[in-house]
Amino acid sequence: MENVTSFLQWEDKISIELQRLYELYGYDRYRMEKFEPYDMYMENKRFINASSVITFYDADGKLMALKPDVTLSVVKNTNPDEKMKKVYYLENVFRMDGRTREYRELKQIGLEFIGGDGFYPEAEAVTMAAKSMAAISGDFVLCISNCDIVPHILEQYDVPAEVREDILTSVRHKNLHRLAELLGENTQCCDLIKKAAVLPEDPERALETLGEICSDRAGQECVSELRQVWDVLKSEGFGDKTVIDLSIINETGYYNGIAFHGYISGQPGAVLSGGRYDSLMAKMGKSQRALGFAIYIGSLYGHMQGEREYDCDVLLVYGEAGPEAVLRRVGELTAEGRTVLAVERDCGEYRAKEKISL
Amino acid sequence: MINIALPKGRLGDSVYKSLEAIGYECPEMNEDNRKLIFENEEKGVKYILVKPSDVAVYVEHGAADIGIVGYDVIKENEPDVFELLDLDIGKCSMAVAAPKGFEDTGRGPLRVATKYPHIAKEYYMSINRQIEIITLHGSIELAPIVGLSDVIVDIVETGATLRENGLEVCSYIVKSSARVIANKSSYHFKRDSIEKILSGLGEKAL
Repeated sequence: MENVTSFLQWEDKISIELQRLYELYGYDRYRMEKFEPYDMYMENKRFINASSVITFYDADGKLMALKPDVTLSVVKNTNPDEKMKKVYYLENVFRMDGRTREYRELKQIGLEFIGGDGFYPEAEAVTMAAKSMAAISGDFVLCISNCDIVPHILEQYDVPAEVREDILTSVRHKNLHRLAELLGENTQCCDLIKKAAVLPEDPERALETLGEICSDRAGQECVSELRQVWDVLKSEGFGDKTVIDLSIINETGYYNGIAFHGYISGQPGAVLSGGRYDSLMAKMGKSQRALGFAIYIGSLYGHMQGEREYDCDVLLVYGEAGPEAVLRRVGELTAEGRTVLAVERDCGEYRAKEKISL
Repeated sequence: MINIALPKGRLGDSVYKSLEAIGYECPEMNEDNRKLIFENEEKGVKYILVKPSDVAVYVEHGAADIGIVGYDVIKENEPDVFELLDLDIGKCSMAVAAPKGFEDTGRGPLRVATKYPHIAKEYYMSINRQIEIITLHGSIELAPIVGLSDVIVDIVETGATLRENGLEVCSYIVKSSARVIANKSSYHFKRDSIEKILSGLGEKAL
């Protein structure tokens, strides 16, 4: 296998490695071979975080969308009676870049764990996320959160509904001065939310702080869920890669409970994003619980591939030689496992380990 | 090594002095030159000097770990960064201004010249006033004088420029001051250094 994969680009190698990992843990490949109706994406546009999608009419005149997301399709095609469904996907999605306002085709790999009992789905999904990050780069951080904690504190202190979204946005940005403005008069709540937004870096200390912040039973249950996730990651050998960060609050109308983001050193944004989305399942008429994550493999390509030292192993300059002779020589060289670029003349534009003239 | 994006000009100079005082000096910064990157390997700091409105772009894309930027720029561009500290300097207001005596009759869309189209749209939407945006990149005060627009949306510090051009503030939209922002990934990989800087700049973010 190594001989075969050694010729692949980084993007292809990591895709194969991750698919193997997911297959080993019992996930089936989900292929999105058909298009979904535009309505489905627009009804849930805050879930997919896309302002617009590419549309077209099918043969029956129905408005369809060029897939901006895979999870919605997985959920839609889940039988409500299915007790457990584990799938992974490797698909290109089409999204508009918010900054440039241009559509981009992005390779996305991810998995969904639908159904299942107790805490095991969380344990397995975060482990898969950590193992995926480790496969991409050794220098990573997996930030875990529980999206229910901050809204729960706001509920406890009767914070008016009209400022809650602004507060959640400020927590997402660790914007303590804005939190002080928004919650200034509610001093006790303000202190708790500010502490939650910037927890200590050490997970044990972060959990201690959260234990103090969440005094009631429902809050303690949220913290206990986070502790379980932390214990799992520690026992799987990812203790030094894990951070508890409550600034991760996914769109609350769709997500709930555990959420996580993965970062790689030198890569500006989160490369992995996931969490539990029971609320989306309920919105789409499904009774199961579910969680999953996605990795934008395409956005990592330039970063991980690095600068290639050579364009090929051998630059074969064939000059006046006929095509049969050139192909014969190329065949001999490739049989030795070397990459070959055949050119009529060497103009110095290709970098090769060796140059051979015919 | 921590990379810091500073806005060119008075605000950047002032913040650099504070950073210098807490041990992040880079002597070359005080020399009269046209360099845009300054590094002090021993202190583990690199400064990049950029246009004030570009600071957030550098930080969001990871070209700088942290940066100093006005709240007006953050509100206009909504970068996906952590906003860690209000430095309480570089204070100004975002305001609507018009030639003295101007009255909005409410007939037809109001023509608004601005460098901040997003803030202007959001403000007028909040007061249910239909507008036509004219995006400019400088000398905004000129627009209503020459009939290009009815009003302008711009930052106001002392109001002297407005007065000199025969304009006056009609309403204030939002107050602005300098903020310390951080790239989300850098925050997790360089948290100790970032917190040390925040603490040194006068207000620990905890």
